[in-house]
Amino acid sequence: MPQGVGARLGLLAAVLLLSACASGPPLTLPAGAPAIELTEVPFFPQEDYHCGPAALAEVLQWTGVDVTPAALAPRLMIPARYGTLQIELVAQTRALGRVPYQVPGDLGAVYQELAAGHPVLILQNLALDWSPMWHYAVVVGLDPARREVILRSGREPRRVVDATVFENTWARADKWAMVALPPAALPVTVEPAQVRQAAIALEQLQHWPMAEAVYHSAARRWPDQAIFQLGYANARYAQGAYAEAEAAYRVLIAAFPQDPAAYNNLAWLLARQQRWDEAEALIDQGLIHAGPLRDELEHTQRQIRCGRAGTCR
Amino acid sequence: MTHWKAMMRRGALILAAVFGFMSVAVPVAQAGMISVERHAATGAEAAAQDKVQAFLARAEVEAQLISLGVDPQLARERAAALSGAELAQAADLADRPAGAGVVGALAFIFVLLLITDIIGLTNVFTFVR
Repeated sequence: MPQGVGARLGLLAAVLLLSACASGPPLTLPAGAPAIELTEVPFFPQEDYHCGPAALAEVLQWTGVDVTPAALAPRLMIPARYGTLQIELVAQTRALGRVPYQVPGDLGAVYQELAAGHPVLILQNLALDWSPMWHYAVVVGLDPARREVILRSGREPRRVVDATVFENTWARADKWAMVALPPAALPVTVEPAQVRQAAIALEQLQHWPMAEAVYHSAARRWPDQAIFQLGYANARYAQGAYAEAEAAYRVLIAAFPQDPAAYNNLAWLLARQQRWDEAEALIDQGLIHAGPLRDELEHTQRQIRCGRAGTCR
Repeated sequence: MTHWKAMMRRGALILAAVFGFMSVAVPVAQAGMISVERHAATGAEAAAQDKVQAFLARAEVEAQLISLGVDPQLARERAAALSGAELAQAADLADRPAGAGVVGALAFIFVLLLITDIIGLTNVFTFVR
């Protein structure tokens, strides 16, 4: 018996050492802010290992996508690993017409997103670093006064977790968090560079109408960033809406007369319509400010000239 | 023998992906346009280089998904849904798939998790709090 007690004391000592780390980073929950809860976010009780499909179905249904965990599972589960990868949650969100954004890993940011009506899908490691138990859940509410986080989690439609416990389990998953939004909506806490990356991913996968909506919203939120107006015009062009694209490029040139990309792309659009004089004049203007894009603009100029003369290739 | 088969299968998949890639290529309408990606990048060669790597990675990810039990048709679609940046992350699919998994059944881990749950470090057992 004394041996058992010794072992238990040893374990207790180990735990006390661990608990020194458990205090972790200070809570970032906004003090004095009112409790918030999105009670209407749907709930799907999780089947074995299917927390990924359940959590994604919850946030997608909230935005009006009619999808169930059972329908998502074949595109999310990895049978040999009994789980779902974060990048596939991101990819399937896009495939279903919603735009995924990563949210900064602090409860203050989560609170801001909830306040805007955006439930937050998070990854937790419920156990320990060296013996992990990964789990996806959806944060639907925060109560700063009671220091509580409210989750759709596993088989519990409303799991209430102490904020410190939540932070500990979340921190062991690098505080990964995402929202899935309709293309015209942007997260409150997102940075311009992140929006650009999200839109580029949409372009790579040829989701042009979604890319257009993202650029349109971003151009309105950050009117000083020419890149979003360029993306908006390019997306219109890619969909064959040439008149609308032309109008958008002209707006961009008027607002940012030093940006060579708009001259290049509008010149290219005009050349496609065999408006050669206008195209040549624009590319000449663009070449004045070409900078690092000189090669591209000179290539466009050559193409316009040979296109006009009918001597390309 | 099975290793050899797996290699053959992977090679065949990559070849199939090559032909698929060639037939899709870049839409003609986009040629000559300066994209947001190009405008934001500093090097002109970077984008082209990435394209080749992304497409090789796509075939690789598809093969990995199949070897982990995903239906081949769905594996192709799932790999196709990943962006260039995500493909780079997917290089090792063993990474960390989440599902409320069962922790090793060792009694030691059980007791340890019970205690760490009580002090709020972990959150495995719902009955603790």
